[in-house]
Amino acid sequence: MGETVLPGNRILSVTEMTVYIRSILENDRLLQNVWVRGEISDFRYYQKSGHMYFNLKDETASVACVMFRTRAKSVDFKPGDGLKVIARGYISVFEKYGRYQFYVEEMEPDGLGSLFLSLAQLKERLEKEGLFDQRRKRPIPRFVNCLGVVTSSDGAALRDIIRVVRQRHSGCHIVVAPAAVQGPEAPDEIARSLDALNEWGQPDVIIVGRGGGSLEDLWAFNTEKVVKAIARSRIPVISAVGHEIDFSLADLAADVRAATPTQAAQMAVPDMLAYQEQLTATGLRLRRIMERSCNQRWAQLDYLRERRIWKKPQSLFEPYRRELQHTLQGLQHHMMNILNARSSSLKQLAVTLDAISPLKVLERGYAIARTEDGDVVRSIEQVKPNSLLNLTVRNGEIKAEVREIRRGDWCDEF
Amino acid sequence: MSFEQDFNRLQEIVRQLEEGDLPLEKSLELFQEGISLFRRCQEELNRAEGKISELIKSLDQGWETIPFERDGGGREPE
Repeated sequence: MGETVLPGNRILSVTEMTVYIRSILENDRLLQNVWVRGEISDFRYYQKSGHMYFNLKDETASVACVMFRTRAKSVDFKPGDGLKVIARGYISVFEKYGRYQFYVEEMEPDGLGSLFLSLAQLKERLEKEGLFDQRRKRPIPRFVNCLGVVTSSDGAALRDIIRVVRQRHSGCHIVVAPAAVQGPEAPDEIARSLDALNEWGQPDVIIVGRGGGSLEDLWAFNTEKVVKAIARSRIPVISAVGHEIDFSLADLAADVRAATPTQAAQMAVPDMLAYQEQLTATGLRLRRIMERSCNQRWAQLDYLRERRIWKKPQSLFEPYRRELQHTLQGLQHHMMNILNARSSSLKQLAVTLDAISPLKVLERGYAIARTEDGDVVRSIEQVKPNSLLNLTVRNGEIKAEVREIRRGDWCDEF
Repeated sequence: MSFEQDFNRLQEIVRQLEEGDLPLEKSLELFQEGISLFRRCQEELNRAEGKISELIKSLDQGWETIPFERDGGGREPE
């Protein structure tokens, strides 16, 4: 039981069976020299060996192809993904993997690949709608606490993202909105998950993408549905379609393009280790500033305490005292001047007074005559005969009677 | 306040203090604010490992998150 018995009642080894299949293919006349039309995808060229590996495909089928160095040299155009070609060669089996392959001996371009053409047309249309405008690009927040991820829930992309986020910022909340990233459902699922994260609204940034793959594997990221979902996201989007060489349309619509999911995660979350270092340094600075500031103030206080004023407070009044003394001296000096001036003028007055004193006149023998009314007699009209006069002489008074009045002849008035 | 706001405010405070010319009371005030910001940032950095969730449609047609299950708990198998 369980053993597969092939015709001939013999049990074959895998090698025997593979060799048998190969001999059938290699004996088919058509398959040993056939022209095939198809589109190149997953093109790989190895510098060292000079061999080319790729798939040829159309809408429904795909065949693995190899073109060895000796044949590859004759190709006079640059083969690449999306290019439609006509190739001639033979079919055989790559025994190690039990895979039939198309061994290409000759290859010519067959116009622009139709998938490629429609991609170019879609790109042009969306570009006109402004979905790829640089002005639409938003910066990724510097500090992300909640990261939305739209990708396959069992893909390597998600594993890479979780690993990198954990390394850089372990506290970051990762919210996965799962979506198939290839196959016919992929565009709808990716768009729906992007919208869901936006409706939920918590993520600071969203990564949408998948790990590397052939051009057709990445096709969902070149569909209008996905591009428009990215463009209408209110939350900044990082695209991570693992495809280093070419841009997908999703890349063009995203706010930032990362080459791989790993790189996207690095862009999305800050390296908290760096923050930790910065924070530690900042804390040290803060403490140092305060220490320095306190020390400076202590030093100022010490300096003030050492000032002479506290030891000899009287020196505070010294200038005032000196000025007061000075003022007083000035005042005294001034006063003396005034007094001196006054006393000398007084002396002068005394001399004058002495000179004009009537006593001096009386001393020379004159007398002052006054009527009884006390009027000084200056004229004969003031007196009458028999009236009394008071005569004042140097050492007393004489009461006299007028006997005769006679006009003096020295008087010419009459 | 988010970590980023706290962190930026802390940097601003240190800058202001380093420039000096602040009255003692003001600088003490800033210093205290700086220390509490520093503690908050430190706590944020020390925060336990964040969740990994899956976004699903809730019964009321809104959205809710449940723990993400993959390869037994969403942790990275080495």
